[in-house]
Amino acid sequence: MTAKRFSQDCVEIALANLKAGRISRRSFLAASAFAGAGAVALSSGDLLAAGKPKQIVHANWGGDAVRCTGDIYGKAFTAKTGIPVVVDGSGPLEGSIKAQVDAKNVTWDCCDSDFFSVLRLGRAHEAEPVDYSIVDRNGYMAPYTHDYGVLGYWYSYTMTWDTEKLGKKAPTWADFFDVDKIPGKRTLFKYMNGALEAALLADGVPPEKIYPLDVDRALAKIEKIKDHIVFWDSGAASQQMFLDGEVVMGSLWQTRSQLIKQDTKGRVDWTFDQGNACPAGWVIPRGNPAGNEWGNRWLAHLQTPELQVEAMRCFGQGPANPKSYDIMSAEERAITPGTPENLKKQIPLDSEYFSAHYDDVLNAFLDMISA
Amino acid sequence: MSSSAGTIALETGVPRGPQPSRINPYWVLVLPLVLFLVVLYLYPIGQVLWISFSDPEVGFQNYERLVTNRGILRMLGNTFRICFITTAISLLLGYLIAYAMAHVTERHRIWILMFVLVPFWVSVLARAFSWVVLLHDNGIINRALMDWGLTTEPVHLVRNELGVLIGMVHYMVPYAVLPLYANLRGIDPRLVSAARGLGAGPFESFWRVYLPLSLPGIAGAGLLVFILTLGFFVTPSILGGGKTLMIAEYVSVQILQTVRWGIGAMLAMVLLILVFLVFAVMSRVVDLRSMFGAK
Repeated sequence: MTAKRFSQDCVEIALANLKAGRISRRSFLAASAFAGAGAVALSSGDLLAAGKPKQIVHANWGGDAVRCTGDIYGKAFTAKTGIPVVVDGSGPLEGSIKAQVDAKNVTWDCCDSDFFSVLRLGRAHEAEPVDYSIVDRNGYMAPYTHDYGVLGYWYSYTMTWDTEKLGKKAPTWADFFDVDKIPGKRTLFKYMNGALEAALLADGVPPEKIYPLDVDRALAKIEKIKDHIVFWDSGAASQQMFLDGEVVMGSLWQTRSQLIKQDTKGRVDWTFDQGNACPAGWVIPRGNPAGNEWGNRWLAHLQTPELQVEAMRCFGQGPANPKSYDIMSAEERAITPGTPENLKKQIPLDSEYFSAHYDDVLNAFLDMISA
Repeated sequence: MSSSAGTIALETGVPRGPQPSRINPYWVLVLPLVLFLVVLYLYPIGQVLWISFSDPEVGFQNYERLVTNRGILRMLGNTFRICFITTAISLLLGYLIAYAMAHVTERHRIWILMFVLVPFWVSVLARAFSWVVLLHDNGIINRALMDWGLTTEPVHLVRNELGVLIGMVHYMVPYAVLPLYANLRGIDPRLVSAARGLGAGPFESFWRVYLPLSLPGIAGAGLLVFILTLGFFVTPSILGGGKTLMIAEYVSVQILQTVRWGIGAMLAMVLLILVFLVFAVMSRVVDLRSMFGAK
């Protein structure tokens, strides 16, 4: 569920950016220029073969993500296929997708979802299979070419800290859990992601042995300093805590960290070191209105590297197609979680593990923090 | 908040007076409403009930968790403790305000009413965030306390259960004031004068005459406040620092995040049954119809 929350957060960031004048409308105008480039991806002969659907409905989290997705991905798709794209911002929660599929009343052709949710939906037969004759398998890094969904983008839980209180050097997770050495409040994500990994790293578990999670050990570690932790549940809240000086360090989405760094002119800094990189997916709900083939064509379109980079500039979404990293500036690469050099610094979230254990672990975590 | 559940319970929980044996033709006028309720209310509730017994498999396993799962039990315990405390404090504050309203001049009453109602109209989200701004460790109140030398370290007023209680009481006080005021206005002031005339002191005449007369108002306001607090979600989530989990949020997590609909549906049913139970108990103690001004 965290990718969904994360995308929702990107929406807020884009809105804030636009208001603060940090991004221009130029990003959106640029999208139409890519329309021609995108047409190469689909051969026009294929288009005539399948009956055209009335529209494609892409579900995400509302606000500016509707505009960014519509202007960047949507317009380019319409230009090459003539099919209108509708972006529905009402929020494709895993429970909502299941409700639609079970009721056989599916209104979405593509949903924005955590990669472990994609695996869960696939296993429950709530998703349409991905057709890799339409979708380019090379557009993903291993092992993210799944039968029932593709890697959409990367986001990350990163160490973020107040340099005025802790100095320029980045603290480690061991420092985070040492309240005697560094006093002050810390913050973690309320719905667990990023927190257990951080606790185990702090407890001396080597990065390659984090998964499968030793849940009891991680929970015990967090419980020890629970009184010093504030749990955030929205990106805006996490940002506010740092701006108000309420916390000295925390695990935040890298998009928010970057924003706070800009807003405080570097008083608050962040690093990918020991971060928790999370893959998010795009999935077609089973029985989607446009049908499997057109759902897959939309997935293929979403892979377009140029469009992924534009989406990043518009609302912070971290591109996942390796080819998109080649067309970014060095500054953009530095804040993109999925590049090989940044992934190396982080612990990539194990989607297989969470697809099997998310329910139990989240409930145990909520139980611990609310006890 | 589950205010609609409260309305329904009112309709069904009230014992009817003697009915004429012939069906009253005016029932035809009510029929569309009854159908409306059955289709849009009872049918979906029946579905939720069914899910609570059938997901992931048919049986009582979801209800078994109520007694076996310590996490769920603790969450329910937290919910009830917070709701009881909130109700008690809201009633106390609400009583003071309603008492003042019933005894001041018309002009002052309008002012008080305005101060009660204006926060009532402000969004719950805006109120919760405002409390965070005021109460957090570097917030206005803590800075003032330290500047005045009253404290040397920040007092943790928010991001804990205290913060949740402050936010919830603030939200609920108007709900306590309005029914209490309606009740207190109905008390004949001459009864208190009579008590004073017969030699009772001010406290005794309040304690033995006024307060007992206002009990139906206290019960009604308490019932309303308690039932509404059971459904709180946003306020505890924001002011509790993530550590205060109440039943509404727990249900939402089970339905939307962990996709354990059986447990979510079971807890939703438990909540509904509890609301009915509270009404049933209350209907034995006080006359619900007079309490809500239907008589």
